[in-house]
Amino acid sequence: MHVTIFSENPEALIEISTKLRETLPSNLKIYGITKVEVRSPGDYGIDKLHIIKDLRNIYEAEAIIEKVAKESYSKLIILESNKNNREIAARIAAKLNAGYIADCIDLKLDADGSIIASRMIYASKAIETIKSISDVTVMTMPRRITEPKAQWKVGCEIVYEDPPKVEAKTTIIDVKRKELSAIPLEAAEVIVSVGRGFKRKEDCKMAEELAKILGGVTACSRPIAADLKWFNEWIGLSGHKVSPKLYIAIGISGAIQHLAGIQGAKIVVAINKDAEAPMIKSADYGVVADLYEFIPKLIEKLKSTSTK
Amino acid sequence: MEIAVCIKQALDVSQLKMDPKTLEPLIHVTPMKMSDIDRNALEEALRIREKHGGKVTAISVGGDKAKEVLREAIAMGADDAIHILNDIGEVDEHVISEALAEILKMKGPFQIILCGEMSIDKYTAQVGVRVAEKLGIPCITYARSISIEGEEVIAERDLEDRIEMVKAKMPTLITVTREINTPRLPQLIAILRAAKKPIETLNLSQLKVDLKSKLKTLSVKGIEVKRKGVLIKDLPVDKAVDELLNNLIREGVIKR
Ligand SMILES: Cc1cc2nc3c(=O)[nH]c(=O)nc-3n(C[C@H](O)[C@H](O)[C@H](O)COP(=O)(O)OP(=O)(O)OC[C@H]3O[C@@H](n4cnc5c(N)ncnc54)[C@H](O)[C@@H]3O)c2cc1C
Ligand SMILES: Nc1ncnc2c1ncn2[C@@H]1O[C@H](COP(=O)(O)O)[C@@H](O)[C@H]1O
Repeated sequence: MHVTIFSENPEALIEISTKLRETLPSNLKIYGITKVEVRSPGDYGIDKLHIIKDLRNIYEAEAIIEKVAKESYSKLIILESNKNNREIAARIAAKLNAGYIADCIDLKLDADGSIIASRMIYASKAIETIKSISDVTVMTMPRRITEPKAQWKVGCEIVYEDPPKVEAKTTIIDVKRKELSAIPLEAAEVIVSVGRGFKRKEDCKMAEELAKILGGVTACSRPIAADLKWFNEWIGLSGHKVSPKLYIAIGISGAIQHLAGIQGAKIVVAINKDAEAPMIKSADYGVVADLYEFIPKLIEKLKSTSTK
Repeated sequence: MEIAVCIKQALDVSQLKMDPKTLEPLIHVTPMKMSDIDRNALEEALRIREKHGGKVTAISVGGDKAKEVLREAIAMGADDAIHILNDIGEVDEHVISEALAEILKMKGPFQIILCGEMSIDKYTAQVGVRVAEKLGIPCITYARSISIEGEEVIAERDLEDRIEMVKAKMPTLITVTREINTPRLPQLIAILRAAKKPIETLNLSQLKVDLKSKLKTLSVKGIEVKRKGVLIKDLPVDKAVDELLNNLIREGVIKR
């Protein structure tokens, strides 16, 4: 089977190619498309790599993916899952009248050669297993579904190309960057997460201090980032899905969409003044307390024990 | 200004329970509701109408009960509602998009078509984009604000690491995020009036579009995340802190 994969990010590319080599039969041919050099792509099972250095927008990305997929007779087109790529994937699927499986976390081939894939649905309460009965199948795949492994050693042909000339239907007139966490939230061992129980932005300093003492990072629920803009990145279904050793949710009610982001956490602590909050019920340790009393005390104790 | 909003009746996932033995999701006893973000899409449509005039048409593909969300849309202020009755059975997003695009062509032209960024049960974020492509019009995804200037729409796209301001010539399809607005609550009198309003219904099987799904669900299995559920309450703050720290040390997640 021939597969076309796309990501601007080489790390995602080799994760996806590893996943394919691990799960699909050996008569696989992988055509990668990315923006920058990839170190020994053949070791990760990529047979041919298209490098398009100055890929400018989603329309050019879409055009090159379509071109490579068509020329290589790919039956499967996989993009790294992110907001822009989900748009590209849906549009390619629409053009090809193809099935599009968003955020696929696992895949295999059925006895009859068709693709079977799984994805989380119902706010991550369930896994749906889907069979594709489409000539070509389009997918997006999130990061970290597998560890990249350099063990295939296929000879990889590398081609450098210019971006295809295409007409953009929308025009970008301004871009504002968001300030992101220094280490990716997905890699953090300890996360202290802030919810609407915090009354003012300044109060979040407490959470920052706690995170620092515990050697972790801060994050938050969606309204803290998306509405109040106190932070930039949130945890949950529509945000980051994390798996730290310790997740401390402070003043977070524990809506299902939030819980969907912390299923991988080893230990979950909730601090909430409402004993009925779902967060308390979905935690390993649920502390029913006012955060404004509890957190300063917690910080004080942690400081005094660490200096002892 | 002719505005259309695509509204899905979705499973209310916060109320979804699993069969404790088989982990089968108990879908048939779970209530349905208007997909949250589609409510924001409708609110935005009403605001655009309030500012620029025109008409708002709500469209939904779904079983007989999908009429409920269209009634709700009318109660919130939609002028018209069209129900594409799914008389086929389970269909995928490809078929839903084909049907929506067909109706939008039939009833249009619409200058603005609004969708949610994604539906709250399936969360695939594809129907809006597919519909735009079928109609051959621009698509702006993840909009957290929209303004209209002359023939153009300007929107702020909320992406992971940046906010992009983009513009496109109308007609345009826009998918919106939750943050774009706070939806209004329908008034009682409007709810009563909406209950009487006839809703135009067309059968999905009668549409001249590709009605063959490309994807087929084989199974849906619930996931159980087991947490310990230890409660620390009714203790003086001092004691509560000690209790938590002792537990976390025992778990080996913080160092002594
Ligand atoms: C499609 C969709 C996607 C979504 N995606 C996400 C997502 O990815 N991530 C996400 O987080 N949300 C998401 N949401 C939003 C989610 O449904 C909730 O609205 C949100 O998580 C609530 O945030 P919160 O817990 O901070 O606020 P609230 O629900 O307002 O909770 C505040 C909590 O703080 C407690 N509290 C108040 N004062 C104190 C105090 N002094 N001390 C201690 N506790 C206190 C309260 O008891 C309450 O439980 C999504 C929603 C939808 C519809
Ligand atoms: N059955 C449907 N009827 C009307 N609109 C829909 C339907 N399904 C999806 N949509 C629209 O498409 C958006 C994205 O849905 P999805 O692709 O399922 O995540 C939703 O927010 C709706 O605006």
